[in-house]
Amino acid sequence: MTNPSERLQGTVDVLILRTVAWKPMHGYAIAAFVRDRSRGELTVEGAALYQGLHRLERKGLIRSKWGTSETGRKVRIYDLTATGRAQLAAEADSWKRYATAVTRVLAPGSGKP
Amino acid sequence: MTDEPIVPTRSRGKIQADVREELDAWIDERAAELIGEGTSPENAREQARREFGDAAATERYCAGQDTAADRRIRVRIWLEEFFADMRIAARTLARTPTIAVVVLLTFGIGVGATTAVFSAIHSLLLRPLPYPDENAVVQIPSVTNGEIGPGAQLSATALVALRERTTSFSAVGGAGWGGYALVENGEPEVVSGGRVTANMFDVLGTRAAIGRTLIAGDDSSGAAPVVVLSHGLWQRRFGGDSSIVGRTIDLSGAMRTVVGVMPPRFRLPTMEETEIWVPLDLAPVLRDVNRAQRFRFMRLFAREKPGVTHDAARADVDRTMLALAKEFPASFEGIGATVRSVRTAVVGDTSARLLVLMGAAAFVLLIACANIAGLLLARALSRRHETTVRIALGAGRRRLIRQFLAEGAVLSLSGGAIGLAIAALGVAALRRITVSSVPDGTTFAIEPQVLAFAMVITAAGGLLFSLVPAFAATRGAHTTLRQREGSGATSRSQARMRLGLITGQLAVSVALLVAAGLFLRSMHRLTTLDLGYSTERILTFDVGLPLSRYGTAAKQDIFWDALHEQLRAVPGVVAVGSAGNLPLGGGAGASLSIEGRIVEGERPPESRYASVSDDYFETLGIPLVRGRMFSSIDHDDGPNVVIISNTLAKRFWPAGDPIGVRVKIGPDPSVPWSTIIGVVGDVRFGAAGEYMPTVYASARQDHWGGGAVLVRTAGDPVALTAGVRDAVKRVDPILPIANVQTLDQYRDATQVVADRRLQLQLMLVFAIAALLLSAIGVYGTSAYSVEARRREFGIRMALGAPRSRVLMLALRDGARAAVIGVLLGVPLSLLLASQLRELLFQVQPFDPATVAVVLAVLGLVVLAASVGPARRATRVDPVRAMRSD
Repeated sequence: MTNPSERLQGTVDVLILRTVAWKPMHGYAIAAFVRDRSRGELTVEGAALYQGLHRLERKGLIRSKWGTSETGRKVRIYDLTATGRAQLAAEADSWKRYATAVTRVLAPGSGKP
Repeated sequence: MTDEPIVPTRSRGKIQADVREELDAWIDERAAELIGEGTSPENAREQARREFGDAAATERYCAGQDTAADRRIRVRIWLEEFFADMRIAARTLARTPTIAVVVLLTFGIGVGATTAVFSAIHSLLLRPLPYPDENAVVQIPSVTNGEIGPGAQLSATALVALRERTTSFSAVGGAGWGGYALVENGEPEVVSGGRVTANMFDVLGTRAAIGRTLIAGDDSSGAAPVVVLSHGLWQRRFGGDSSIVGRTIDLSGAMRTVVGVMPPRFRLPTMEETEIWVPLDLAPVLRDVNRAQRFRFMRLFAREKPGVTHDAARADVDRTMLALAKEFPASFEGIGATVRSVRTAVVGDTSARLLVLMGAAAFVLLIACANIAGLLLARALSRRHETTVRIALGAGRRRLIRQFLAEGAVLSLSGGAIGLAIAALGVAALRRITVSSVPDGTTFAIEPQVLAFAMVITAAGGLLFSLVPAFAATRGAHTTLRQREGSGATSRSQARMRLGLITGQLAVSVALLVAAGLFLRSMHRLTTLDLGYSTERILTFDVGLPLSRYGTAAKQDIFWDALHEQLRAVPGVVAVGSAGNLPLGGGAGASLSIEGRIVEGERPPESRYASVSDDYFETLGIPLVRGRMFSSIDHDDGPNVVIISNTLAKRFWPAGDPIGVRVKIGPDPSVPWSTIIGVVGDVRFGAAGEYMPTVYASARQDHWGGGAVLVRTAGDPVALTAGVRDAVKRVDPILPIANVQTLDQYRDATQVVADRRLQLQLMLVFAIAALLLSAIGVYGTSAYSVEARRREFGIRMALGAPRSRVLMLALRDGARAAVIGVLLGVPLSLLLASQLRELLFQVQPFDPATVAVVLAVLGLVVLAASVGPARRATRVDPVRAMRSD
């Protein structure tokens, strides 16, 4: 079992990867996207978000450049690298299996599979 | 839309500013959202900041991540540029191939020589010994007159005392020599064996590869006769038969059961030639008190208890030996013992000599580096103009230095590769030429440590090659724009530096060549040393008479007479003699008591002793000084007779006549008296030993059951080998003979000679390398100097100077440097030679003849190397030279 803060970090990371895979965007937009897609369930705190973004960039999974937001502000826009794409596939897969497993254990009924 | 990429390398401040700006953008967006939802602007910003989380910590974290990423990129960029620089450097070097080739060869020779020697030293000194936990294994050699005795052997009583009275050792074992006739599976062969106490393998710690080693009880009287084989013998004579354990084999007529085979690299320390090991039963020796105390036939080895230091063990041994000397002064007065690690015992004092050779190799490397530094320096200085311009145009100093580093890297890496190739060749050659001089089982190979050593040298070289020229070229660059190459002050200082390097190189070369010359002369003196007997045209071999068939003195006499007769009948044989042992082997020791001169409690004089045949002296050319030699009238039933050597006669009868005096040989007082019947000339013992007082007995009266046979031939002794073997077969068809060789070959194979030969060969390698490098250096420097002074020569010739004058000008500076270098070299060689004093044989460190020869040779080489470029100076076309500005 990975420890809770690692699992949390991992969650933020995979959410970021998935988001910029869909479209390159800046930090605030990424948080908005996640909130909307999860129908308000998942809110990523600013600090955690940016720590995740810079960590992923250091690892070479995403890259950034300066750009302008819809509101005309100078922002840093993130995009997925090839390595990031591969990592995303692996992570998403692992997450799905984890979620399925937890759901199965929590399902009501007898102990039978 | 201002899309700019993030600049790959940012300063620390920029990184932090960027992060702050990015986080502020989030806060702005959130605040804008809140304002849209109706919050007031000031509250909106406050709330957005709160919602963000720990901004300060996040800033620090993000800046840290970015810095790490940034650093990685910086490194990658630097490496890419460096490799690009290396490619450029390689191309530039290819345009001036002479310099490149010279540098590569020079560095290659330097690295190659040092690496080859280092690998030899590593193999000889540092190789792991086949004894687990070797630090606890020691030898206890005997000490007489403050020095470790040549045989280092002690008696049985000493062994028992050291076992029982010391507390430092967990086991003390003894090993003596024995020769065994092996008739199994083929040609009879005499195998050198070790007679060892059963605990010897516990002392050494090595386990058997197959079966077992000796165990307690194997050496008690009445135990079943067993033997342990060496790996080499097992392969050679028994074909590596895996069912060997349990088989009985015939050794000198007695059957023994093989209980085990040792692993491939195992040797008995200091007795490496022994190939089988049989248990040594000390009980019979100990029963005879005299033999027990005085017959020094064993080398002792021991294993220190954990935690015991060599010094403590030594003190323990000293105490015991002193106690023995008090209890049995007649046997142990003056006999001491010490403790030395088994490594020191095995490697011997070759370590000091090899380190000297290492020093020589270092010298060669120094010369090589000096050569290269000189060349590159010259090149860099001539490119100073170009470099200066580049700096003025804005090239960073660091960038330029990196380019020099790249050039240095290219040179040192390729040079290092060549060096390794040369080292591999050198090691292979060393292996072949030293096969007789080094302990068996030493493999010269390029080990990982040696490789690491080579790489360190290469790296150091690379740094040297890049930094020296780099700094020379960029130093004070901004002020030298006005100066042009080849003009005024710079060219003079350049020239001085170059010549200085040449001077240094020549000095070192002189030293090495003189050392090599001294070694050569030592070798010559050693091999032509007058031993007191002749070694020319004599074939020798060993025989051992098995007791089962030659149990009586009469049978042995019959054998020897028959053998001598058969051998004399072989065509080409001039004389035949035999002896229990030969002087080259060191001889046996015995004490001598002279009738009428015994003093109670005093130790009788020691002398060498041998039992010889009638014609022994004649065969070896040892002259008769007084009296007569042995003959058939001196038979076993008659009165005992001996012959003594001249020094013995002079010492005890300086004015009188020893003939007729009665003496006793050996420690046993019950032995009958012998009468001196003759005096012969002295012989040296060993290949380089002293003349020693010697007593000879007749083989008819003292039967040794074997020994060495000497056959003097009219022509080439080797040609008669077959005839000699046949003669032996005619006397006894199944008697093995061993060590068939000429006496000269025997002499060359002794440790003393073989050691020196190795040193000589290695030193010659260095001297030749030094000579080559100096020649290259001189050539390179003259070529360069001529090139640099083209204009000058052109002007002179245009002004009418004759060719010969130009030639002399071209040669003058070089000649002056050469003379100074050579003169400096003479005292340097004296210094080196005095360090090597112990390695020289009958040659003084300052040997004018050698020095003169070396100076002449070096002078010729320097002349030859500088003549080529000098002549090119005279062929300079004046017009073209002046135009090439």
